[in-house]
Amino acid sequence: MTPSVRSRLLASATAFAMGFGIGNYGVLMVARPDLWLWIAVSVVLMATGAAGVLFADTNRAVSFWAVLGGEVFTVLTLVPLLWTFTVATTPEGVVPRTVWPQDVTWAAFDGVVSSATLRDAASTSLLVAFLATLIAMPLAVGAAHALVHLAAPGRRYVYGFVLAALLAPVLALAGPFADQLISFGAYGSRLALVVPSLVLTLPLATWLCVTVFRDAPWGLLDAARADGATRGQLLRRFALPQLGPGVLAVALLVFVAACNDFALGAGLAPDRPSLPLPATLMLVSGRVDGSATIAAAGLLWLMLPLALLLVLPRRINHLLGRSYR
Amino acid sequence: MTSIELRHLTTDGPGDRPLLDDISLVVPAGSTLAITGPSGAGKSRLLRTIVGLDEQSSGDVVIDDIVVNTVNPRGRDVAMVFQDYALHPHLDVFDNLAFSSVLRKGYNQEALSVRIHEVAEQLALTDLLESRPADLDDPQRQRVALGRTLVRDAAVYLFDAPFTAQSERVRGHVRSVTAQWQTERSRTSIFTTNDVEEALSTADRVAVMHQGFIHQVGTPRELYDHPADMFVAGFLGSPPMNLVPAVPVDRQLVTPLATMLLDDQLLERIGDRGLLVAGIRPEHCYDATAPAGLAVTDRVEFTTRIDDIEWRGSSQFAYLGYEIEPEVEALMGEVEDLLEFDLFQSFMVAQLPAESALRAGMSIRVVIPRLKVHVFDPETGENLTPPR
Repeated sequence: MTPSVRSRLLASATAFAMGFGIGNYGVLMVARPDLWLWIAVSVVLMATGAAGVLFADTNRAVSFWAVLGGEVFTVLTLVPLLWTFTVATTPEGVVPRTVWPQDVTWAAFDGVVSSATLRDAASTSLLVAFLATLIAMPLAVGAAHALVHLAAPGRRYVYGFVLAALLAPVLALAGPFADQLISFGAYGSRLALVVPSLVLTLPLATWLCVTVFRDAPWGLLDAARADGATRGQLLRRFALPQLGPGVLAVALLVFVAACNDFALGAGLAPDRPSLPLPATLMLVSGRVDGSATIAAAGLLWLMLPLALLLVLPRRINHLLGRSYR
Repeated sequence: MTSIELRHLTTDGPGDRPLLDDISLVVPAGSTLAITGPSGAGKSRLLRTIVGLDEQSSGDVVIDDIVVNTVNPRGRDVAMVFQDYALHPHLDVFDNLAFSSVLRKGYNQEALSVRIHEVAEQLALTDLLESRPADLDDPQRQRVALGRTLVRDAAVYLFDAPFTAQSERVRGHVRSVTAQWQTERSRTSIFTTNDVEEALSTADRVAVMHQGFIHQVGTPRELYDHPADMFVAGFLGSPPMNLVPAVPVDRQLVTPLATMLLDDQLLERIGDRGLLVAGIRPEHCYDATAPAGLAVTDRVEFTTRIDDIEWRGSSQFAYLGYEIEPEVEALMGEVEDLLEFDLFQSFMVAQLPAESALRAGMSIRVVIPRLKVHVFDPETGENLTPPR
C-alpha cells in the first residue's frame, strides 16, 4: 500500500468515524428540527469516508484530508452564522432554543434600520474607516514603492517594523491614545478616532501594497518608457491598469478592516455617542432592543466584507493567499 | 538615417568587475550590428543603456552625432524589443502592436492600422489580433513584441534576443521579415543573440561580448577568419575552434598531435613565450586520403586514432583525443577560470565529409593547411598570427 493510499484511507476512516459519532449523538440527544442538521452533517462526513475508500487507490488529484478539513471549516463557519440568523429572526419575547430558525420574523432588521444609536454607530464606523483609509493609502503606496524599488539600506528592517506594527495589540495603545485625546480636548469626537485608526490601516495598507507592487510587471514600465511614454502616459497606460486594481482592492480591504475595528473604538469612546458599530454591538446592548437587533445588525454589517469578496474574489485571494499559490 | 556611437561606456557593478567595461562601438547609419556572447555577458544591459533605461557610470552614448547621456528615453527615439516581450496583459494584440506608436502625438490612425495589419500579416499574427497575450504561446508573444517595434517609426532599433523563442523552421522567416524591413528604409539597428550562426548570418557587423567587455568588432568574415583573441576563437563557430596547447621549439611549434613550421613573421611575434595555444577550425582538418586533403600543399600532418564519430547528415565530426602535461592543463584551467568560459578540451574535432567511411577506433591521417592555424598567447589571449 502506497503512503498516499494509506493516508486517504486514514482520512476516510476519520471522516466516517466523525460522521458516525455526530449522527448517533444527534439521534440520541438532539431534538427536531436541529436533529436534521446533525444528521445532514453526519451523512456528508460518512459519504466523504465512503468516497475516500472508493477513490483511495486511484490517481485522482484529491486530498481527502483537505476535503475533511474543508467540511469541518464550513460547519464551524456556517453554524455560528445560522445561530446569529436564528437569534436575529426570533420574535420578540421568545428565547430561541434551536439552531434552525423556526418562527422567522424580520422585525429586528427593521429595528436596526430605525435605531438611531445603531445608525449613528454605523456612520461613525464608515466615516472613521473612510478617512483612515484615505489618509493611509497614499502613504502606503509611497512606502510600498520605496520598499519594493529603492535600494535603500535597512528596508528589510522597515518592512519588519511594518509587520510588527500589524501584529501589535491595538488595545494596548488605546489607553495612551485616550490620554492624548483627553489632553487635546478631542476625546469622544468622531474625527478623533481617525488618527488612532491609522495604527491599524497604515501598516495593513503598506503590507498589502508591498504585495501588489512586488507582483507588478515592472518590465512593462521600462518598455513603456523605452517606447517614449511621458509621465502622464506612464500613469495612465501603466500604473492605472497594472497597479490600479490591486491598490483599489487593498483600499477596500483596509476600509473593511477599519470598519470592523473593535478595540480602538471600545477603548477610545466607551460611553460616548461616537462609538463605532462593532464596539456598540458589544458594549451598549442595553440601549438597543434586545439581542435580536444586535444579531441583525451584525448580519447586516457582515454584508460589507461579503460584498467585497463577491466583487473582487480573485484579487482578494491573491492578496491574502499569495503564499499558498 | 541615424548612426549610433558608444564612447568608452562603463557601468560599475556591485563587485570589482564592471557591468559594462569601456565599450566603444560605432554602428554606421543604415547598418545592423549583432552583439553576441554567452548569457550574462552584459548584452541586455548595453541595450538598456543605449535606450536610456540604465545609466552608465562614465562614457557617452551618441545618437546621430549628438551626445544623449542626459536625454530621457522619449527624447532618444529608440525602439526596443525586450527579451521578456513586455506585452501589456490588458491589451489585445492589435493594441499591443499599436502601443508605442500611439504614445506620440500626430500619428495617422488609418495609416497606423494599415501598417499594423501589414506587420501582423508578415509575422503570422493576423488571426490573433483580438487575442490577449495570455492566450498566446511564447513564439507568438515574441512575434508581437517584434511587431510592436516594426510598426513604430523610430530613429534607431534595438532587439534583445528577438528570435530565441521561434522554432527552427519559423526563425528563418521571422529573421528575413526583419531583415527586409531593415533594408527597405536603411534602418540602423542592433540586436543581441546567443546564437553565433544567427549573428554571423544576419548582421553587417558583429561584436563579441563577454563579462561586460567587447572582445572584437568586425564583419562576420573578419571575426571568423581572424579572431582577435582566444575567447572570440573559442566562441565563434559551431563546433568552435579547437584550442590546443603548443610549445615553440626552435622554428617549430609542437602540439600534442602535430608539429608545424613557424614562419619568420610569426616567430618574431611569438618572441620568447614558452607556452602557446594553437587554434584550428574543425572544417580545416582534412582526411589526407580525400581529394580535399590531397590538394593541400603547405600542410601540417599527423596520424592519430579516432576516438568517436558523430554523423550529422551533411558532415561528420571525428573526435581525436590527446593527452597533455598536468602543469599545462592546470594553466589552461586558470585561463578558463579567469574567462569563466569552457575553452579547452582534451580532444580535437575534425569536420569531415559525410561520405567518408570512418568509424571509432580506426586510424586517420589528418592534414591541416599551415596558414589556417592560429597561434594565441594563453596569458593575454591575443592572436599572434598576422592577418593573411
